[in-house]
Amino acid sequence: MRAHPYWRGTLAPPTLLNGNSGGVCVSDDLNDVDPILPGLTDEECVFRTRDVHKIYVTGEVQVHALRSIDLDVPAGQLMVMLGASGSGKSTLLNILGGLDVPTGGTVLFRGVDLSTADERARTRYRRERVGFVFQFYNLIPSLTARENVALVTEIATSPMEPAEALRRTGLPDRMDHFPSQLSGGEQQRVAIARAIAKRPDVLLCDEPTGALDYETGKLVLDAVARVNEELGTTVIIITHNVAIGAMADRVIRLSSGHIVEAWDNERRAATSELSW
Amino acid sequence: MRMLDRKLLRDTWRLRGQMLSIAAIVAAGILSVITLQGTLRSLELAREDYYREYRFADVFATLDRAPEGVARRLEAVPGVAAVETRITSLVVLQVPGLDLPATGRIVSVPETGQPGLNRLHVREGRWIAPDAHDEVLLSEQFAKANGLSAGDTLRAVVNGRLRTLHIAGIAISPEFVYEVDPASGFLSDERLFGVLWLGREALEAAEDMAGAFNDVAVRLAPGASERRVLAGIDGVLDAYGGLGSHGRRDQISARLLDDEIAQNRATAAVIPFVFLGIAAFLLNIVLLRLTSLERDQIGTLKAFGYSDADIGLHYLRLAGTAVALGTVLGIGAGMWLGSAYTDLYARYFRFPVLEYRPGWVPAATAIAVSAAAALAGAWSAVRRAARLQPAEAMRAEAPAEFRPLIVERWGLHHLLSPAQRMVLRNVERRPARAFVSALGVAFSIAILLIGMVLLDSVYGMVDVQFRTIQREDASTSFTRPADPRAVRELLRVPGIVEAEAYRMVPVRLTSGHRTRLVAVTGLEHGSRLRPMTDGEGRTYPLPAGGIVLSRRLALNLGVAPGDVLRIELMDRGGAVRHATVAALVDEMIGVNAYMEAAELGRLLGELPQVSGAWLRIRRGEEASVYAALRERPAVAGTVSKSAMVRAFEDQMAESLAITMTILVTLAGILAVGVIYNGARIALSERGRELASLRVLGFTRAEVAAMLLGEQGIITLLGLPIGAFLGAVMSAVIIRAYDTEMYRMPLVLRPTTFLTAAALIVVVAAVAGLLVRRRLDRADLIAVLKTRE
Repeated sequence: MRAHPYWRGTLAPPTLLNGNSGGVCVSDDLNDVDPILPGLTDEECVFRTRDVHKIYVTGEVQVHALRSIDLDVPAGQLMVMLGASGSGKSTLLNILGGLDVPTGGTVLFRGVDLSTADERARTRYRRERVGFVFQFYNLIPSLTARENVALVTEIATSPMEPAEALRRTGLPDRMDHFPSQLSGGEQQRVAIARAIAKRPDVLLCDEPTGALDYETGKLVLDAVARVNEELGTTVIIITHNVAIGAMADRVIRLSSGHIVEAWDNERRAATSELSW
Repeated sequence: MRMLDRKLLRDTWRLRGQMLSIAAIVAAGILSVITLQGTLRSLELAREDYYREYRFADVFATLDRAPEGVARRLEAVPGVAAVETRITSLVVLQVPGLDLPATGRIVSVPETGQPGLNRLHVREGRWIAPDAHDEVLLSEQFAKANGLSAGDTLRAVVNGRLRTLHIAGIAISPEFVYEVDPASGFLSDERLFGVLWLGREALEAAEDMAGAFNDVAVRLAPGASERRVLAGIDGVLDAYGGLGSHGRRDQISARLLDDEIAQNRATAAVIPFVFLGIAAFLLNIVLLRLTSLERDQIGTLKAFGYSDADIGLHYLRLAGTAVALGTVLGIGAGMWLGSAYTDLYARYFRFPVLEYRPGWVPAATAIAVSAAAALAGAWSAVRRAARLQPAEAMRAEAPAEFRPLIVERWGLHHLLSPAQRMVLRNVERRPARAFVSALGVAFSIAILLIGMVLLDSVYGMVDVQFRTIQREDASTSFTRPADPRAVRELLRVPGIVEAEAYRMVPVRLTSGHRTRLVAVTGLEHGSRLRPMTDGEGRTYPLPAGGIVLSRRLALNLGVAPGDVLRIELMDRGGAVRHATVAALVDEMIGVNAYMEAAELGRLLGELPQVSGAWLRIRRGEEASVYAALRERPAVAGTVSKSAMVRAFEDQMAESLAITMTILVTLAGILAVGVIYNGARIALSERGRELASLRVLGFTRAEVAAMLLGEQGIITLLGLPIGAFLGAVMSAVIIRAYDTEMYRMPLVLRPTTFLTAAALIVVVAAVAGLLVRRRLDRADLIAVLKTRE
């Protein structure tokens, strides 16, 4: 494992803060101007954050959830974000997913600035570009597995068939069951099917195995890895389980709002090889 | 403060929207108890006091003429406690500034002071002076309507002579609590009918009735049988042209007052229970939801040693807080509205004092009933919370189970999108809750409809009676039966385009043991101004032979066409005749009997005579026609139908505004309460699910549609049920209003139903939008991290 220049936390050398030297996300060349967002036309890079801060103010208390996060996420990558509770990993995921906006800094999704997007634009962004997988599945109890997926494919522009999405997550024969008739692992795989059915650019998974046992958790991770390999979807998984990092192309670790560590795996481990 | 008390306070505050909407429904229920029952109680007390203190008579009789000495024979009738003889007559009044003909009933009073029965309450001025033969006391309603007060004068044609009368004072009488012209029934223009009390000597002189009387009021001895006294009095008066005695039941003012109280008593008994029932239901769903959300808290509290009773009482007190707030608001608002309502009654019913005196009974009833509602609503939730085992309570509740919809099991699933299925399955999963919610919406529509249908029906009644049945513009009556030529004379008055004679004869109709005093109206052959009508409003000509009865009269006498009636001619000393019932006629006002004039003449054994005429007047010439008729000594009085209908419709329009404001408010409170609470519960149950959808990229509007779709379906379900309930309840109420005085057609107009439905849909939409605001503010991030 070695430190990788794709991440730029506060520990990074000052020279890296404005440049792109060493990054695979090439060309934020200022001459190559995007009509919407000048200076950022990088097709290879799905996310690019610069100097992102997030401060929550509750009463008289200020909480610095994120401090000066610089991060590039190349397209097609599977990234795992590690960190303890309160490290800022969920805040970062929420900002990347368009659920929240940073207090300062820029967040670019394929060159478009999310940090200044309004609620309507962020809703459209979530609708068209992002797939979410939650810790507690958040399925609609009154809809069957197939219908939960169809609910999302109905509002997508070029979705896959709900049945295909469910097949990809290994649930071809549980399609017409209601959530109350499915196990936790099955529910989570329905949630993944629901997230990928619209062919999102990125799949954001927030502790996807947090509520599952070991075996079931691995089945779910397997489904996520297959989505990444077969569909080329960029995947970000956040977890506090360090072992899961082995299945990623790249791992970053957050603590107290900083990226404190990052590395690339030379080889991605198959989910069957994982153990915790 | 105990910690559970503190929790109670904070929970109440947190749930303030729901608590307030439930409190408002309770308040509406309590308000209706306090207002309706309090007003009725006040009316009853005022009636009781008035009748007792002013010695209102029990029995009344009118006759042709009897010497004063006959009074002694009446006093001797067993059961009679007191007798007051009087002279009464109808006169034409000329009021300065009023170009319509006004009718006055003159009643004699002793010059020396109050009569023994039916004493007057002098509001203004003084009693008539003993020797002033031109002084009168004038009835209050008429005086106010025409701007007359003590010291003013008015002119009256008394017994064919025009006299100027000085108003000594303004008075009211228990005989005229509802001051109404007996000729036009309860529909009358208050400017056009008044009562005048004139000294007995003065009236004896004016009417050539020295030492005689033509009207008598009788007070019954305690425990006396009214029926026997009536028979005894009729026995004495038959020889003097007695027209038949009657009790208070047939005294028009007393009757109208009694009917008013009886009709409102039914409403007062039903309306509050609708509101309190719905409040109990809403408390039930709110508390069930709360105890389900607070399962783990209940478990923790129990684990720490709080007893089942502590926990149960805690939730019961939450329900109690909403109900207590509603009760206090309801009592306060009810006292205010009751007082206003009583003042409104004081405009139509004249009492010496009509104060809002609800007493403690309505308030006590309200408190007891609302406490029962709180208990009923909270019971199942409280019991569930109390019974929950601590270990079980701290585990999460099992996820809700759903199954395919009925329509899906029929194979129609492809018709519905997943979002639509979500909405429908949520409704179908709790059918009882959905049904009661729909019932709540339905009641709010029904409440609106009752008011609106009743108004339509009143207008319908006026329309049928005064446009289809009574086609004249005015009716004029002669001082005594006249030759038919008198009617042709009237055609010479410029402006009168048609005049049709009628004859009125007071009779007593008897079939078996059933008997009724009515006037038989003799009509010209092929009468154009008074055609016979059936239930569908179709008209047909009067049959040549036999007697035609209004349907209500036939019902009361228990006769049908073909039956033979015994007819006593009251102004012929009770001479007996018989006639066959030829047909029945559907009329809205009063009970009537008709015969062809020639047939009536044969029955009476006289050449045709006329009592008066119905007139059609050329538009724009009414004033000159009335002025001309006023100058004719043979004309006793003229009633303008159009003025009467106009006055009535004006009065209706005024009460329409008041009634609709109250009904819309009450219905609105009910609909808002049901929809708002339903949506809040749904939001609480499904907030996490809906917020997840927002995270997945559904817009606010799409998610709101999924939440409010359920309330939309409930509202839609409520609409037809409400229309049905409204129609049925209106029909029941209109049936209750079906008296001998008047009856109403049930008028169900599609536009009325659409208006009521539209109003409730708007109210429901507003309630839904209030909840949508909460949904818009939902914390999307929290959703990712928490499990319910």
